[in-house]
Amino acid sequence: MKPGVRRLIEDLRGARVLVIHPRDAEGEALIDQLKRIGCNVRGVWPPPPTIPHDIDTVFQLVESSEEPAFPASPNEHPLTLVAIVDYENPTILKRLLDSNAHGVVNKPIRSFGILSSLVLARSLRGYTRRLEGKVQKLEETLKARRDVDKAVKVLVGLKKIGEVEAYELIRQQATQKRLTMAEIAVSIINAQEMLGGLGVLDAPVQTRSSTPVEQ
Amino acid sequence: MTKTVPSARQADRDVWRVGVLFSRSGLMAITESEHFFGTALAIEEINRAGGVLGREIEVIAYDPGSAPETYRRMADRLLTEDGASVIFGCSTSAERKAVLPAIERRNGLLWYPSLYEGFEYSPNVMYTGACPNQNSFPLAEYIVRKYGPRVYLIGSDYIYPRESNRIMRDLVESYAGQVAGEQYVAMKAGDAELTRALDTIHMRSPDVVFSTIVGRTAQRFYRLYAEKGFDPARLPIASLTMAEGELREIGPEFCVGHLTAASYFGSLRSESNRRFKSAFAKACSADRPVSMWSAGAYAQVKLFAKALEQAGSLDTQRLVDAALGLSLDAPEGPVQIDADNNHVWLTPRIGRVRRDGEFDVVWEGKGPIKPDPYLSVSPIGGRWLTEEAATA
Repeated sequence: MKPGVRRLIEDLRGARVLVIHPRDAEGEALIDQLKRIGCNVRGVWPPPPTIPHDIDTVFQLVESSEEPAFPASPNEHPLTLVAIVDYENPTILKRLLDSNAHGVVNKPIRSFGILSSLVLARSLRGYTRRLEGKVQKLEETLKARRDVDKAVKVLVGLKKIGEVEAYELIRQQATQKRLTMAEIAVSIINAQEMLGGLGVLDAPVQTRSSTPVEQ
Repeated sequence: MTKTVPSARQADRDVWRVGVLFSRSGLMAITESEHFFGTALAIEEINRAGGVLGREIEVIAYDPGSAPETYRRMADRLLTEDGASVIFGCSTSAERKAVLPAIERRNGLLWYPSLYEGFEYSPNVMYTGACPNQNSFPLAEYIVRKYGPRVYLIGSDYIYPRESNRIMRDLVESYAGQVAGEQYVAMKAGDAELTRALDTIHMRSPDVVFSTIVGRTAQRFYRLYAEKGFDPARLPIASLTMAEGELREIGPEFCVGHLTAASYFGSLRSESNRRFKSAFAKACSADRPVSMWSAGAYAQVKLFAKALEQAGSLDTQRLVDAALGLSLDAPEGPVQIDADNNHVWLTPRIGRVRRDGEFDVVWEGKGPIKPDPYLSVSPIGGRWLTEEAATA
């Protein structure tokens, strides 16, 4: 699950970092340290409305005002966010939570701690991303299974065959047409609903399965 | 940052007051005494030549006895009671880490002359020793190509050996070598523990031993290595720290053939080194050997003096601003303080111990290379040796 520390460090060489912080001594110190670490880094202030596409990591000052909000990240473009905080009162803490940051550095900014925060944040972001991918895949699998179950019941009702046989028919169709079983299943369900609605099928079957999905 | 060093008191007197923190006793006594002599020699030379901007350098020196906690306490005393904001000191990473909070809180400036494992930058430290891309990198290629692929890693159990070995493992593997074993012994390991370690090494039969054991324990390790019948010509110990002073303690005849990667060896034949050696012989006793420890400590004081001359003040920020980019004809040759990371451009070299306790330089870089403490621009597995050098 955790990549080797060497890969994390090497990965930093390719990191493209945007520092959203006023252009003062602390902002400069942060940018300089990120350069030492080997990141490709630039600074910007005030916060831009959107993050440029080439950026993968953002260090951003958390401010007490609601505006400007955290810039939206471009679609399908997951950013690593490290928040910079100078107060720890509940207002700032709430803003920190709202930001969905993966790491935090405190003001006054020191050179120590930036590398740790960066490595941890990028690692967490990667881990979250893998989890999100897994959840999405599981959801798709679950839905596909529900559709196949439903289609099996349709075929059982229409062709008076057993469930095993119906399942095998769907599988054969999928192989022949080079589609997934879920896609075949959806076609069957749609066709059955459409034809049933037109009265073409003399014995419309109950398609709303009441059996819970096995998992 | 607040300035707590009472500079007014210092300005009343016509001196630049600095602190010196090297251990003259304890585990690190040998190497740090050499740091101390190098520092003292440079300051003496500067004062004899009239000081900096007409003012002499005044030294307050303590012996922290190789104990990190004592380093912290004494650094605090130097920075507050003694009013010295500039400190030359520390050798091990544990000592440096102990001093860091004090030096940062009081906004002082630590000049740290030792090689270390990298991955650090403090605006309050000048790192004038080598970082891994200046010693481990060429050493790894050298040992794998010259002695063989199986490298045994052994070190004292603290941060410098562990991180150095992590880097060495990556390097060795990048040259198609393999780690034949990795082991740590106590800082003050006794003969029994070291003998057990040597038995394990014998069992694993590596082609070379990379040792990051430090201090007196390292001296015992080398001695026992010889007594156990290991042949350094065939199976050498490669080190980043073993220098002339410690060889003298062990007995050079027991060490012939061992390797050290460093930017300085006493045997270098440059004009700047001849000057340094003769001054050192005159100031200390003639038979005390010079080494990377004394030469490095000497060079950093000279760099400090140059920076002070430009800054005209011991104020940390002004000193650092003046120091960045400074170059010097040091005993090892030309060196330069990097403008970005407070570390120093040094020339990597590999030395092999000979019978008189000096080193033959068996490989040398073309010139000073950029210090890369975060290994952000140094490729693992880069080529250092030419084909001739690797097969010679």
